[in-house]
Amino acid sequence: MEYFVHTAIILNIYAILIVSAQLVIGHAKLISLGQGAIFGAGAYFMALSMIRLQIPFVPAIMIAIAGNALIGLLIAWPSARLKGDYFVLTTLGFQFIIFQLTYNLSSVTGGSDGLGGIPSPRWPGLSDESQPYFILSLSVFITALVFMLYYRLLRSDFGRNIRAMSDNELLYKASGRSVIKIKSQLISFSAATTALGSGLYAVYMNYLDPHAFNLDKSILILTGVMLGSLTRLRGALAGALIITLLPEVLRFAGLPAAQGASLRQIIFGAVLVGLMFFISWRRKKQNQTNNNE
Amino acid sequence: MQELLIQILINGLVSGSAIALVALGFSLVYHTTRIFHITFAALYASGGYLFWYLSVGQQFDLASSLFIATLFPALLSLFLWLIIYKPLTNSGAEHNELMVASVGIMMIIIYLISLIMGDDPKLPSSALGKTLPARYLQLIVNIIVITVFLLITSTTRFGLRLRAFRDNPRLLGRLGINNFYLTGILFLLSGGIAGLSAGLSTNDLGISPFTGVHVFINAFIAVVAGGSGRISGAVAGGLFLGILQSAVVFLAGSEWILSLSFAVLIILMLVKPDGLTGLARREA
Amino acid sequence: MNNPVLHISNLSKHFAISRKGMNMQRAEVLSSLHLIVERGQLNTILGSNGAGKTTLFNIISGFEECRRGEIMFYPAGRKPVNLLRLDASRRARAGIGRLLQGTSVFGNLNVEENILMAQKPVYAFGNLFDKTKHIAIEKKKIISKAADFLANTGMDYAQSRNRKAASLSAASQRLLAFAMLYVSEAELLLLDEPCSGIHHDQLPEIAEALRMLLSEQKTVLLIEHNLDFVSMVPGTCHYLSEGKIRESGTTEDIIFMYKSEQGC
Repeated sequence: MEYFVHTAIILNIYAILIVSAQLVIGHAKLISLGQGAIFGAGAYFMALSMIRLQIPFVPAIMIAIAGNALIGLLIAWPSARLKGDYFVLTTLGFQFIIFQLTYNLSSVTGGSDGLGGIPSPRWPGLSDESQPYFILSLSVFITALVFMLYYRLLRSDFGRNIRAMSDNELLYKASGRSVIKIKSQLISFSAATTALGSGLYAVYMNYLDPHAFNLDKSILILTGVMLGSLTRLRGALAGALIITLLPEVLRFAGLPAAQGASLRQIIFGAVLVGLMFFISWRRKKQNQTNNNE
Repeated sequence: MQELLIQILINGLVSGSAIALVALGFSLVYHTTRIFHITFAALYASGGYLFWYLSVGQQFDLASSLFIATLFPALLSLFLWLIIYKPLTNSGAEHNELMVASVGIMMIIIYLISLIMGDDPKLPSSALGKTLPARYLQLIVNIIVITVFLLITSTTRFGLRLRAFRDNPRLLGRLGINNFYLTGILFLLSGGIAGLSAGLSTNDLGISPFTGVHVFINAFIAVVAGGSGRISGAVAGGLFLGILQSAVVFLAGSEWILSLSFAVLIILMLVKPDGLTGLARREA
Repeated sequence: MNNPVLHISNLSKHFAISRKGMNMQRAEVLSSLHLIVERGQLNTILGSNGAGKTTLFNIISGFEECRRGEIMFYPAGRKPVNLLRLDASRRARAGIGRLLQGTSVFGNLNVEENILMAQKPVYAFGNLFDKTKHIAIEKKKIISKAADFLANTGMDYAQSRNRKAASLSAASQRLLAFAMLYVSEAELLLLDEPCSGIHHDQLPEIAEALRMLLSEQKTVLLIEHNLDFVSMVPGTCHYLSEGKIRESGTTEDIIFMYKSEQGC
């Protein structure tokens, strides 16, 4: 049962990370290799404000959201001015910078020892045994909130503008809208909602390790988006389900733990390559049937 | 004081020429095919590890280790182009899809390496203290290879085709020049440069699985700093970045190299956006 | 006849085409171009391929940089501005509309969404919850106006509103793009080859769409190679050659001149 609760909480966190990444990668068509770092930044904002500033859960998560929104602007600032490849480069570099910061500024972040002692929020009068269930309910609640927010967002003018911008940047400009502005807004918004996942992760694990937010995590999130769907909310959930369960399946398949991590990344890499073949093959086939009609 | 400055300058020239060489290798593929060829980082790692395995593990001599470490990534690069990029492009894959596929291959290769070799950093055989010959060897070979390349691209027919290919690949195809062989050669050369550069650097500093990615980021920044997609620009950008980095390593420590590179990138975007947009527009 | 909406003076633009050693080779595209566009009229620009027509449009829209010369824009009831000082999106908001060559609709958006893109941009997360009343009213107005426009040009809005723009025929896409310009607040419209890729039989529909734009008091600057179409919509005509406006006059005269210069 404990195992089930654990998996369910992780699933919820991944669902938030993937639906946030979907806005950038799927809707705006900006490939990001820094989602893991954004996730990590939010978690450290959360943990540091709870531990060092002794702030309770709700205001701490607000700080994490605001901090991540700023980080989103920081990433968008140089790269929104230029075409796609610079965005990948910026996010990739940001990935390593965040790692270096969390790893090297050990007096603040705990460095390679990690950052422990993050308090969990508690419901008054609830016993210790029920605590995981409380965190699970909290994460389901927050995930539902995030999905509802994205549901509204994608149907609003903002969502339409994002799709229009990624469709045809020149025409988007000609319609009187600023590409830089919308890119900054959407990257910042995505980072802000990622912070909700970060906050949950921090208070559930009670401990942060810089290695949990490395490039592997970014690629895991990218794979989740690609596997699920680039644009559909349901797909984000499916993607989260696959990337949560695949490692579990591999573990049950009896892979040795030492090689497990590397093998998992190899599998995710292969999945990405395979998916790209599948996507372009499917589109080619669709085009052919369209032409035949 | 003066000795220190000379030391910083020499270190800067070594790492700058290394960045420049890698930037050149990457730009061969990037500026002609427009593929965000991040697999390049993994090819680099494969060359470095192979060199380490041969020279330290198997006690091969330097020249043959370097030769094999150059040859293998070159062939791997060609092979990956044939089995991944080419079929994908043929079935009409978009820019982003090629990029994601490239990320996927990079992950596969890097983690295969770490599965086989372990993910601890591998140190060069003469790890006790910085051996000067390894540094100078690296510097000399880098400069020779870069010079030869610059001469080839600016004077020979092959170089002319290369530049024409960069400007307008489709037109070149219509003129009856075979893109297939040209692209193949580019991937071969690019992989070879990755391997050679990795071998030389491993001989000096050692290697770990993600070294290639760091080097790749620096190289890309050098390409951007050089501006407008000229190979000589990438070389100049690399030298500039390398010297700056070695100064910062001395002042603040090596942990902050990447942060510095990004500061450079951002300042460049403010100071000379023309050089940057020149490159960015090419993609459109 | 002295109410200009656009006054271009001394506009020059060149491209660096190659660099050999220290010598930069330059190709002059526009050399001190002068052009005055009168309000509410149709102005057609004729010129051979490579004469710099699209470059001129791109400079007016702000898609291409140009530092030499001046482009004064006189919006009705507002202060005149030098367009060269604004970026592309600000120029569009100041009142410059543009029909791009080829595809000028958002292919992945449906017809209704495309029309809404013609609305003046709303910021602050673009009205996330659609609660602001006057914006909703504005949207309805724009859509019904566009629907009328499309009906007049022979396209049924109700039937196609949920279809992706990319799935429409070339002519329907072009009409949709016209509808977007029609409902937008742009005063000066730059139409770059509205007839390219359109079947000859459908030219009258495009011409009708263009007349409707003019009837909305909009000023139109038109580039078109199809002389049949150009003669369908008479107005002022300019002949662009060697980076300058060589001659201005009636459509008939300039077409005659253009044909004799092209040697046919």
